Amino acid sequence: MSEGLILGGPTHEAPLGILVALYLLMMSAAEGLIFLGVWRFWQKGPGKSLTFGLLWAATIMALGPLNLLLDLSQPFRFINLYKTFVITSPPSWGAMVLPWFITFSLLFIWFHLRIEVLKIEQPRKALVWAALLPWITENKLSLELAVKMAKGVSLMALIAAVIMMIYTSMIVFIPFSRSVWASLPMMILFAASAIAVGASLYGWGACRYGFSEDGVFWRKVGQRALLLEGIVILLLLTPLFQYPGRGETVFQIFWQEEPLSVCFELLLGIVLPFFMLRQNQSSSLWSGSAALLILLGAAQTRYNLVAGLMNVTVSGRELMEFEILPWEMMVIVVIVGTVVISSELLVSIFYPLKPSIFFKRWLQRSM
Amino acid sequence: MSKGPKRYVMVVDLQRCVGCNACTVSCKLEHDVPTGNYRTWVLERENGTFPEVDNFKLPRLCNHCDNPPCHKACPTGATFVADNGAVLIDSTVCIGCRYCMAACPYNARFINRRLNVADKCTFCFHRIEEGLQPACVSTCVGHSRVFGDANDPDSKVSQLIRNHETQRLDPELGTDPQVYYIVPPETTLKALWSAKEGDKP
Repeated sequence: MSEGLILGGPTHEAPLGILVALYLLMMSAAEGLIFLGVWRFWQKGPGKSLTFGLLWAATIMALGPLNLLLDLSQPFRFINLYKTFVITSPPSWGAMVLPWFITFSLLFIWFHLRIEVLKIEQPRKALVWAALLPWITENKLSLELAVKMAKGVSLMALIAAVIMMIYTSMIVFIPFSRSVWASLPMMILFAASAIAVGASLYGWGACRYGFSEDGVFWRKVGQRALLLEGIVILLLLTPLFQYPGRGETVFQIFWQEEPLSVCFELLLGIVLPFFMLRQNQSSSLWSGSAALLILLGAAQTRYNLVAGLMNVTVSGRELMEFEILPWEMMVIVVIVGTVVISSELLVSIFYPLKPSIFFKRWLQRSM
Repeated sequence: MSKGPKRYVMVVDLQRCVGCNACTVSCKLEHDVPTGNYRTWVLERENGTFPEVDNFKLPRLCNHCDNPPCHKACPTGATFVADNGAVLIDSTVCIGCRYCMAACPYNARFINRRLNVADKCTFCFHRIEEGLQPACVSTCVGHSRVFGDANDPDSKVSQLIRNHETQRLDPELGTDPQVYYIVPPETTLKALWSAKEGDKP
């Protein structure tokens, strides 16, 4: 009898799988990048330092929803999500707002790139863009008009990003159905995490390409977001926020089940990068390492919440073994790898290719 | 006879269940449930410490809640509540997102590997529409399971609920489950099962 009660094995037998966690991470990164990008655009106008993060946001948005499709047991029926709207169901919210978020965000990115392309001095790079996206350089849209259009769509993208932040956190606490987690702190946690990821990626880009003033700005934003994240997680460990009927908070459950994961999340994902960002380091290796730790911490948060949700809600089964299957690992590697490679290729069109310091040293030694 | 709409419920007398699992088998056969999944199952529970130990059998199934969290969580409307109170799944609409599985505190749902959609106990809807009893009820050797219309004051379920002290699984969750248990006096339903501990032994 117990064999029939054990959940585990294929992801399609678990309520939420690792691909949902990856989707939550990727879309949170995109939300943070767009939110901060729009804010900075309105503050300082278009600029090269934004291009880096916005290009990453574009590739993330292009591939992030693929995780959700692959997670469905009936992926070709996803259109059923658009035949009805169920206000009590966060996935229904997501189905409605996700296309708007992606559309307005990509439009904003397009207009921003349009403005940047108009400033490109090297004719070869302008030609590359003309080859890839011919309507960007052939269009007679003036710089001023492009800025106005970018501002217009950026507001829509910002609103959609905020709704997305709310919706991606709601996925894990099934509001309206029955309360599982502490709802408001979870929303704040996800929003802070998204902003921390976005700020760290912008900061990495600023350090890589020598925008030191922007680097300082993004470091400060990242620090504040990490501080907020840490405060929320610590609050969730207190008796203030408890799961009704269980007398435990979600993080107390994690602490019992996966203390190493909680330590990683707190120390390596929040505390260490916070202190790294406080240092006045402009090297791309330093900022890149901080960004990577923040990303891993954010991934751990979402993985923990997805696994913890199963632990809390799938209580009727033997303790679930949240194993990641080989095909899931392959999907994760392919999707994440494609995002990284595509982003770097797109970025290299706008910025000069910067070989890593280790490659430079190798070159020097071999000469 | 009930003059208004029917409201189907099930009453399970734990003092009569012998743990034979005939209900589990008959349900599997009736609905061709894939290997490894169960629409209904029986838990064994022990209570007390040696030498004062009691052993109980706890049949489990979908509770067909009056306030079903799965219905609220379903993004496509595939999960719906029938007029007679049964919570059903339209397998042609379900996209297999498994969000209903996350929402259900009773772990009554699973993904049917053959159909790749969510699946669960349906109170044998096709049988009750024909005036038959659900397969598990018909098969129960100890007559532990009783099924009927709670809106009919003369029905057996109504009499059992009236004449016995019944308990339900974690009603404080707000789900208003419609499977009632007659629990032996030496224990409580909470001691046998809770959403927190679930089906863990």
